[in-house]
Amino acid sequence: MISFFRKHRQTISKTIITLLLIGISVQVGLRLKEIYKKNLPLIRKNNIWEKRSESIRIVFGSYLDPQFLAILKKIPANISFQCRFKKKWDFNILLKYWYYPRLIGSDNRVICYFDHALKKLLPEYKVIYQDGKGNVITIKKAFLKSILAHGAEKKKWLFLKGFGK
Amino acid sequence: MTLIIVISAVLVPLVFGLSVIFLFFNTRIFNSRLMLLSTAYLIGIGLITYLLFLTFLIPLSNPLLWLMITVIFTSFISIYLNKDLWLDIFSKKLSMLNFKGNVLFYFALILTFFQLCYVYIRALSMPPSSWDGFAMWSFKAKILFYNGVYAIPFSSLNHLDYPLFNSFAQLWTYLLLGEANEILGKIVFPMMYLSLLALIYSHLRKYLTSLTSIIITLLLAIIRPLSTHATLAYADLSLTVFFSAAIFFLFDFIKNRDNKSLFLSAVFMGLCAWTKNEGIAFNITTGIIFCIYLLFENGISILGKVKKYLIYIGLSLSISLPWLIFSRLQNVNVDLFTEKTMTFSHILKGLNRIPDILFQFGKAMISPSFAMIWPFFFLVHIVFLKKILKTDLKYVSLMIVLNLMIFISIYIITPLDVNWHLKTSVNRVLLQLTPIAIFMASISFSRYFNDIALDDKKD
Repeated sequence: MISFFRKHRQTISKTIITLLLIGISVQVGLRLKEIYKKNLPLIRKNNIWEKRSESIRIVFGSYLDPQFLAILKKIPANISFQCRFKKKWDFNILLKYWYYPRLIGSDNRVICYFDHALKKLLPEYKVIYQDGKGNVITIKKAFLKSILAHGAEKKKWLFLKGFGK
Repeated sequence: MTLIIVISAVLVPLVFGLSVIFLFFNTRIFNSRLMLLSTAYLIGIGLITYLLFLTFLIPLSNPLLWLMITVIFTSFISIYLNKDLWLDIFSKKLSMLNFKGNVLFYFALILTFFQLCYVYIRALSMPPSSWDGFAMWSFKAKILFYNGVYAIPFSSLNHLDYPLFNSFAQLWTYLLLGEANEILGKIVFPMMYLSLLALIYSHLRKYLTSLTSIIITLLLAIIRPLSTHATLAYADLSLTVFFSAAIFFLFDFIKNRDNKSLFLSAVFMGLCAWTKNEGIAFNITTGIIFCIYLLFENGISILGKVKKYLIYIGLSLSISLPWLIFSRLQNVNVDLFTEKTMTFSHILKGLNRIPDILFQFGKAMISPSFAMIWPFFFLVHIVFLKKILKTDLKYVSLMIVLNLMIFISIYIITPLDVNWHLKTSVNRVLLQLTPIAIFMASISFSRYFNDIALDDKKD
C-alpha cells in the first residue's frame, strides 16, 4: 500500500488538493451568501443598534438581583429602555451589559431593543405598559416563560427581530 | 474620522510590536514580511493590553496618554537604534509571502481573501451577542472604560478570576475612539484571526511548498469554530492565537536553536496566561515538554540548558505574574479549583465521567465543523508513529496529548454538570489545539510523501 502511495503520490496529491479546493470553495461561497443576506444589510442601516425608534420601559422584576433592581428604581421616569435577549439565563446579565454604561453614565439613558411582535404579546399577559413617556412596564415571570416556550425557531426570530431586522 | 481611529487602533500595536521586535529580537528568524508583521501585531496588542493593565493598577489618571508616551518613546528609540531594520520592511530583502505561485495557489489565495472578508464583515456588523463575549469580556471592558477602575458593580457577575486580555484589547479601541463602541471594539479579533493565518502559513512555508502551505492555512481558516470565534469576542480565539504562536516559535528554536525564537515563544506563553486560565495550564505543559527536550538534547551544555530554561520560564512569568498576583489579592474565587472539587472523593467520583468525556471529545473531533483535521491528526500518528518519534515533531505531538489530558482532567473535577459543561465548551478547548495539530500533522504527512524533506525546503 505504501509503495502504491509512493508511486502515485503526484496524482494523489493533485486529487486531494483539487477536492479540498472544491470543498472549501463551496464553504466560502455559502459564507459570502450568508454575509450578503444577513450582515451587509445591518451595516447599510448604519448603526441600527443605537437608532431603534421604539422604546419602552420595562422592569423584569423577578429576574433581577436586588442590587440591580435598586439601581433601576432610581432611574428618572422619562428614560427610555430597549432590550434584546436570547435565552432565559442571559436575561440578567444582558440587562446589565446593555444598560451598564448608560445606566450610570452621564446621560442616564438606557436603550433597550424591542420589536412589534413582542409588543403584541404584552397585553395577553396583563403586562402594565405604555410607550416611552414615563410609564413603567412590569412584565411577569409567566410572560417570560411564554416567550421562551415558543420554540427554537421562534426564539431565534425574536432574537433577530430584537436585533433590529 | 472614526475609520482613521480604527485604523490607528490596528497600526499602533503593529508599530509598537515592530519596535519591540527590532529592539530585543532580530529579523533573522522571520522568513517573510507577513510573518514579521503578524508577529509584531500580536506582540504589540499583547503588550499594549498588559501596559494598560499596569496603568490601571497604579492607577494613572490618563492611561491612554501614558500608554501613547510609552509607545512613541519605544518607537523612537527603536527607529534611532535600528534604522536599517525598519527600512528592510519596505525593501525587497524580505519577501511579502515567500511563495512561488501557480494558478491553484492564486485561487487558494483569493478564497482566503473571501474568507477574511466574511470574518471581518461578520465581526464588524454586530456587537457581541454570545454569552461569554458580552458577559465575561466586553462587559468588563465597558466597566473599565466608564469607571476607570477594575471594580465590578454587580454581585451576581461571576468569573472574576478570568484574565483580562480580551477586555483590555477592546478597551484599547474604546479609549482611542473616546466611546464604548461595542462593534468597533471587536476589530482586534479578526486582526488576531488574520495574524494566526499569516503565522501558520509562514511557519508551514519553512517545511512545505507554497501551495500546500496555503491550502492547509485555508483549511484552518474555514473551520467553523475558528471563523465564528473571530467574530464573537470570546477569549478562546485569543488564547488559540497566542498558544499557536508560542508553539511555532518553540518548534523553530528546537529546529534551529536560535535563542530569539525561544524568547518570542516565552513572550507568547506569558500572553497565554494573561488571556485565559487555560493559558496557565499551557504554560505548565510547555514547561514540562521544554524540560524533556532539554534533558534529551545533546548539543547544549548543562549550564546552557539551565540558563535557557530559567530565561524561558522567567520571561513567561514576568508577563503572567502581575495579573495572577492581582487576582489573588482581590480574593476572587477560582471557579474550578475549590475545596469541594479538590477532594480525593470528588476526583474518584469524577473518574466515572471519563467515558462521557471521551465520547464528547470524539464526537467533536469527527464533526464537520473541524473539517476532519483531528481524524487526520490521529491517522498520521497511527501510520507514521515510528517516523514521528524520530523527529522533533514528537514534542509537538506530546504537547497536544498532554494538553488534551489536562482538558479531560478539568472535566473530571468540574463542579458543574459535566454534560452541560462539555456541550458548551468542548469545541472551544479543541479549537485551542487545532492550529498546532494541523501544523504537526501536515508536516508529518508531507514529509512522508517525500514532497519535501524537513530540512530541505523546495520551490
